[in-house]
Amino acid sequence: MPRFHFHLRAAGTILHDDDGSECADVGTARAHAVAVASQLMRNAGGRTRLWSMCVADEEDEALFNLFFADVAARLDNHPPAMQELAAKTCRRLTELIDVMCAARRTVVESHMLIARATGKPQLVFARERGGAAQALAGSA
Amino acid sequence: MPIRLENHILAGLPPSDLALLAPSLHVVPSPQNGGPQQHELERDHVYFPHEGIVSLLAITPDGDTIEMASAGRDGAIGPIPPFDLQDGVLVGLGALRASQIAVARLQLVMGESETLRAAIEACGDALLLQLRQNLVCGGLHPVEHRLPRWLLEAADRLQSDVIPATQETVAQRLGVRRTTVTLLASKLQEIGAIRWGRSRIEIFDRALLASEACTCHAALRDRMGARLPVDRPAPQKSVGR
Repeated sequence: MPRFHFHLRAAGTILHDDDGSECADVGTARAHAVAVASQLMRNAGGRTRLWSMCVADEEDEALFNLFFADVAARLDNHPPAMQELAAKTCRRLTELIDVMCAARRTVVESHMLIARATGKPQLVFARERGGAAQALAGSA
Repeated sequence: MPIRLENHILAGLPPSDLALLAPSLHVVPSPQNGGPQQHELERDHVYFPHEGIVSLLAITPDGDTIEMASAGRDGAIGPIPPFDLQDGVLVGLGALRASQIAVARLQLVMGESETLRAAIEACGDALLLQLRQNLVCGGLHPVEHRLPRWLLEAADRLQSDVIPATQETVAQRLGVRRTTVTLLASKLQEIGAIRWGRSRIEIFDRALLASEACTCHAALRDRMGARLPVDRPAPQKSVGR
């Protein structure tokens, strides 16, 4: 059974699901992502509506994004314009987090290069990863 | 061979009550040496843990689980009279060492001693407090705060900052998917509160973890502390078997 990774974009960073979970197919992986998003949103107020999840395959290549605003049940009670605004904000924030994480990764890699070039012990290591972190907003 | 009474409830009993219980108390063997494995325990017994944790889990027809209550060496758990917990499942966590007694036998013995009855009823009260607090917590608090709460309570019950549990085990206790726990554990690791290995969680910064937890941890600790000898060191006693 194929393995999928469910990386969470929250509070300005990407929280990685390194182990991943086995799902029968992409449809099952999407249902799993929706279930996890629902669990994270439950009782959490409006803050989590701007979170998103990047679902990646075994090679950690991004397959699709799940935007929490799209599955937030409470938004159903709001006017369509408000729902659209939340969805748009969620997508923009996703793009912003991806850019921020890519910038952080560049900074870390630069530190590593400088450490190597100057022969200093390599005290830093890359925590941010490529692949899924570079998923494009709106590819769902 | 005498049992070292590290369970605070048993250790707090007068010798005459221990003598009443001793013939019916048996030690649950620990099949594994530590590790995150769960051992399903007999439902018609009450457990007094000396090491490890015993949890009472509710199971839905779909197989989903959630922890209703748990006990470490500070308490007792099981179908404590008058509670009938036949729908739940009792499981152990970690290197479990607990004294068990059949509930039918416990009921008989409780009739013979007022102090023993009071001690067991206090355990029942504590169980009810947990059930109430967990109902509030599960209904009102996000899993983002429930996970740190669970970790703090597990550490309290184990009296250790190392919890032998996998993310799958913790997910079963919280009634959520393993992925949900993985992502939230990742956040707690990022801020330096914990380190989660393959099958053990190490708490690095208890204050930081507490700041991420909901108020239920402190509330329950205070309320249970008024009923059980939670923070009292266990007197060194032993009893037969």
